[in-house]
Amino acid sequence: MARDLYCSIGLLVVAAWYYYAASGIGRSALSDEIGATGLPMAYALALASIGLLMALQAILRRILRRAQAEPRIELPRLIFMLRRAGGVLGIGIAYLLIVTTVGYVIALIMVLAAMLVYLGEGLNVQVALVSIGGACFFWVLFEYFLGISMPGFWGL
Amino acid sequence: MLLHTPLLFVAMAGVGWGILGGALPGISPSIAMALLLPLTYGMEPGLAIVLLASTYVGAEYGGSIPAILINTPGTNAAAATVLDGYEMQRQGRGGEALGISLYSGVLGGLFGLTMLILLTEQLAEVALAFTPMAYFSLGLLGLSVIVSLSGESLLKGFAAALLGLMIATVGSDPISGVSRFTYGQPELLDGIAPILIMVGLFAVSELLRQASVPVWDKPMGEGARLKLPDGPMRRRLIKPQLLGSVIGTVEGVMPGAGGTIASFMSYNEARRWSKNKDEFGKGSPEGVAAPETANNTVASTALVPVLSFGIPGSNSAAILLGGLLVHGLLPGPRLFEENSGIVIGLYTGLFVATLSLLVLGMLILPVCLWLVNRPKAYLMAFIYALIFSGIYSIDQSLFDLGLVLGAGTVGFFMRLAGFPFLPTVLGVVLGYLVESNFRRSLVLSGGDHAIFLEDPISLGLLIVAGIFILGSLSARMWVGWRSLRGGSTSGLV
Repeated sequence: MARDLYCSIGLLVVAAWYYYAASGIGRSALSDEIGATGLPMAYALALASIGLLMALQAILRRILRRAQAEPRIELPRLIFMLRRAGGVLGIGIAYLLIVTTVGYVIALIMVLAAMLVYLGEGLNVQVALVSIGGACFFWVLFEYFLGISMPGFWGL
Repeated sequence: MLLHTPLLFVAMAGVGWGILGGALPGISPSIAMALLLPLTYGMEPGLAIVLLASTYVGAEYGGSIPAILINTPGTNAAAATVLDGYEMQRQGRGGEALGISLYSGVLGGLFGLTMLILLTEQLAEVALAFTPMAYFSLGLLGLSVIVSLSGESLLKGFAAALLGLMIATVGSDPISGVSRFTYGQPELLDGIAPILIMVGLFAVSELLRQASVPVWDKPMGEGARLKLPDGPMRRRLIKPQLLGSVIGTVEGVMPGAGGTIASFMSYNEARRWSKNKDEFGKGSPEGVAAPETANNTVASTALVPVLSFGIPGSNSAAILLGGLLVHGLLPGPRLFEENSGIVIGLYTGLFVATLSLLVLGMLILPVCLWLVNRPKAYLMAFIYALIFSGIYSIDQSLFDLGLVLGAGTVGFFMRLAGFPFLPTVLGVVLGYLVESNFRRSLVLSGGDHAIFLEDPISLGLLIVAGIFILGSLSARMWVGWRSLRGGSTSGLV
């Protein structure tokens, strides 16, 4: 039950935030009867209704003692998955933060090396060579073969 | 003009990439296509579409390689191939199973392509009679079909579709031009491109998930040699291949059905009509031929609703639709009138891709085996680097890359919570069509909603959409009620 109940709460939060944001959209003299806010508000209400139905369904399951029908992820496993995924995401965010400063090639070397080390390959010569070679391969592919200008050192 | 080198090269490159993508567990055809999508931006539209479609063709065959060699389907549609393919491998007949899979896949692909050519333009002509009301109802029908087939829960399917529709409202309002949900970011004024959502949901979320999945430790059939079927075997396979072709055509044309259902249905029908029923599950060549013919037929016939109406029936078809849209190609009758060269080029490309499967399937097998036997960390690191490079290359925008990481995070939580992706992707793709035609219709009618029921095509489409939703709802309620009575644990709506 817990998973779907948490999902329903999440949907209600998203619906409430979206409704609030939609209600702040400005009006235009060119607008039709429905306006720019019409459908977004309808979507928010529909999502909130689905969230309520899901909550009701989850509670009903509980009453009918069918909570075991849901696939469950144990809490320690969930925390492990979130932590591992968070690490990969963190590497991506770090790339976004440094790429305009250190440039595409160096940032990509760091991404490749960080991913390899994070996923258990250990920091060794092979990882270093693969990261440098991989970044150079992508640089040649995009800069020379596809003609796309990738970020250079210090934004150059 | 059509058989010039770039088209041949692009079709073969797509097939090669597709086979590799399909063969790597965790890289579905849709992920293989999503990774390529950013690279197609700078390409000529016709070549870009051929590249994506050829990848789809290659991936459907590629999925059977790990299915046969290590009992792990590379794609969902190859799950039925595991049943007899892996048994053949255990009996030392893995090369024969790969040969049957390749041969059946080529025949299925050619049959599917014939059906695609025969059916698509006729269906697209119907779209000429479409009014704004009909287009709105068509959008609703597309969403309803996908939602009704969306896995464990209908409610989650609806929620996923609404999420997609909400994302589609970001940017300028289609009627008044008022900016919505942009928070002062000029990058959001044109809306969020579907490609960013697709790459985020399919590829990035898979990387986030794979980070906590143990490495695949089964060495994959090194030294396997592909063996094409001889004359007597080819004759034996005719019946399951015919069944696979017909079922693959019907399932491919129906949005939402897809290759997985087609391959399992074909497997069942092949067993029903076989003289050697007892062999099924114990290494039957027919048990490999039927599902492989079916899922390769679907790879072509799934394009019928995409090209005719712009309604994708599967994740891969949705990405192909994304490819059409980013090049300004709108599916429907105008595509055939104004861009007939691109359509003919697509057909030619698919023909070349299907035939080249025969050669590339054999040549690329050792590469697949080598690649799949590399540590998973290398594969994931290079896919991440490809995403960063590919997404940046679209508009030279790091903001887009941030959006992709955001979509990937949302996708990761959707995976955890059991929400399907396809309704979200379809919501993003169809959001503009649904909203703009809904509002245009009401402007035409002076605000009278009955106009959607007065237009005969719109009414027909709404009825079909209702049938899909009610049918799915009643089927799930029936299963829930039966499990309740029988004390089983299968789900409710």
